[in-house]
Amino acid sequence: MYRTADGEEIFIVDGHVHFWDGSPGNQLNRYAEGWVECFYNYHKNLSPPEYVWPLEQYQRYSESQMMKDLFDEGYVDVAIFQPTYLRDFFTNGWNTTEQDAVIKDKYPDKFILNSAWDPRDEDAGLKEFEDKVKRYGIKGVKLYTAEWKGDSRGYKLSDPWARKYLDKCVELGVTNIHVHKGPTIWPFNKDAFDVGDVDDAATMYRDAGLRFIVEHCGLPRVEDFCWIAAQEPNVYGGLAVVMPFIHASPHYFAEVLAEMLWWLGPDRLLFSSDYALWSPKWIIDKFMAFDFPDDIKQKRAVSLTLEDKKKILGLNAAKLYDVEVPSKAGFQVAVPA
Amino acid sequence: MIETAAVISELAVVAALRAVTDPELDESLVELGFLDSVHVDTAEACVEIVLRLPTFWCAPNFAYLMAYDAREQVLQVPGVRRVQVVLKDHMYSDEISVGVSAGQAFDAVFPGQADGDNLGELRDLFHGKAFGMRQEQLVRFLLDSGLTTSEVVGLRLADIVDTSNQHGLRLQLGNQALLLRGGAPLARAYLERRRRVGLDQDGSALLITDRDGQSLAAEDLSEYLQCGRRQRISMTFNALMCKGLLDTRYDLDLNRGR
Repeated sequence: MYRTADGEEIFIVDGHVHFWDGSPGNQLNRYAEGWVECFYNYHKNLSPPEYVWPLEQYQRYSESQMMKDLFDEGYVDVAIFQPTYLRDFFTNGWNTTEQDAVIKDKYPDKFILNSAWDPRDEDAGLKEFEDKVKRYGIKGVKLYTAEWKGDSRGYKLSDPWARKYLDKCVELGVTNIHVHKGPTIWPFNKDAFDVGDVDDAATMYRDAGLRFIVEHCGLPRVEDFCWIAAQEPNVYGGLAVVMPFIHASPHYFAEVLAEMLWWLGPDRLLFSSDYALWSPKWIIDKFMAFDFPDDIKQKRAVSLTLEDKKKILGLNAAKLYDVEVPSKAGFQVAVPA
Repeated sequence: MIETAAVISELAVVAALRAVTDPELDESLVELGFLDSVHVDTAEACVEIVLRLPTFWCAPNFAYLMAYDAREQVLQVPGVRRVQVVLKDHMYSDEISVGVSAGQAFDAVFPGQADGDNLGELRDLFHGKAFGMRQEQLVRFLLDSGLTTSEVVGLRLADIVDTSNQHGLRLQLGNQALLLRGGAPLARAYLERRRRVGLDQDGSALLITDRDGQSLAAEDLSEYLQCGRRQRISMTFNALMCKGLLDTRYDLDLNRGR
């Protein structure tokens, strides 16, 4: 819970956190090393210097560190685990549902456990996914479409097997589909970050009740993402990666946020730190202190009220995941159609 | 007769590389810091250029385009017969370095990973985005300078009188000669990209059109500009991210004014 100077309580849902193992002992190959190096540079590049960890700590942080950073110091009330498997790179996976479930068991009220699926696992994966949903009470999945698997360098939501998995999500009531677009998807000669397949899926599964949360708001293809989000009321923007720009390039952050508010409005944006890429405390502190600079206010006619901040920081996600919000911190949020 | 090798200028090599842009960022790879080093071997008429990118994972298609363009540009430098391109610290360092140095097409280096058109379509897509972004900046400048939307969409190429005047952009608007402070670099950048996407260079051609050369209606301009703005936001994201990551990865201090 974040408390304003006036004593107002703001309920925080961190929409995207990890408990990963990138330690050398878990690395299978040079791709694993490249993965950790890249993540670490993201962390170093956009964090304020006092929040930058040594590499060893970043590769494998402790449970107590995470609990402190998220809940003791980071204002977070509920955090959503978004697993990313990467079994081709890491012996035990990077961050799996099973690993996250151990933590969720210890702190059932603090975490929401999401799972993942991969259409290339076909029938066997479908069965495994169903088992996980039933075992853990899963309501959301994170899909990393650029994940390598054998010779394959990624998949699209429009693939026939992806459709079967989305059908399964409908059947099982797994309604929150977090999509993370990464680079290097097949075919190599096309735009790797293209979000067109999300558009098709969002249209196709709108009436069935699936919601598509596009992580980092489709960046670096915000032009396509905004267009899709404007057409599809069941498309949301996850602010992972966008938020930390509030420190490194605040004016640019303002410009992106203005664009998001223009196209999606304050009801379809979800805060996330992407912990341990970044730590929620400093992001939330800066976001609460944030207001649009005059030039953007003038040109774009945008505003960001305290109510908008509350929605983005927690109430929108709470609604998607049926999280109960303490009455003092909440208010009636209009349900997007 | 003894053939003496021409002396290859390292400066000329770097100057040639300034013309190569990262298609996603619309900036020169030299400015971006992607050029790690240049080695000239005059006796062999050979140049080796070493490139580096912000991450191990940077999309191989864009990496290939840049490395390929870099080789093509340096081959134009007087005295150069052979260009060796080395892409370091990348997931496909070996494939890209070997393939580009041999002048191979992308789909020959990654058989079965590309579908059909090599990289032409991708290159066109991003040239178009860069066009939209540079155009948006110029048009906003013109509107902020007091031109009306009808005036902007009615401008002809010949109405741009001078883009190299240090005091500003010289523009002919009907029978009125204007000097718009600060607009010359925006106009230069736009005209360069306009030429690259292959639009009509005749003085009577419309200055502000869509990327296929179709005229725009004054009342549609503001919606059209929104699209350019979104492209600019994406490109800015890429540029900030890529520069920051490159600095972090190689411990650079390029004073980029962040």
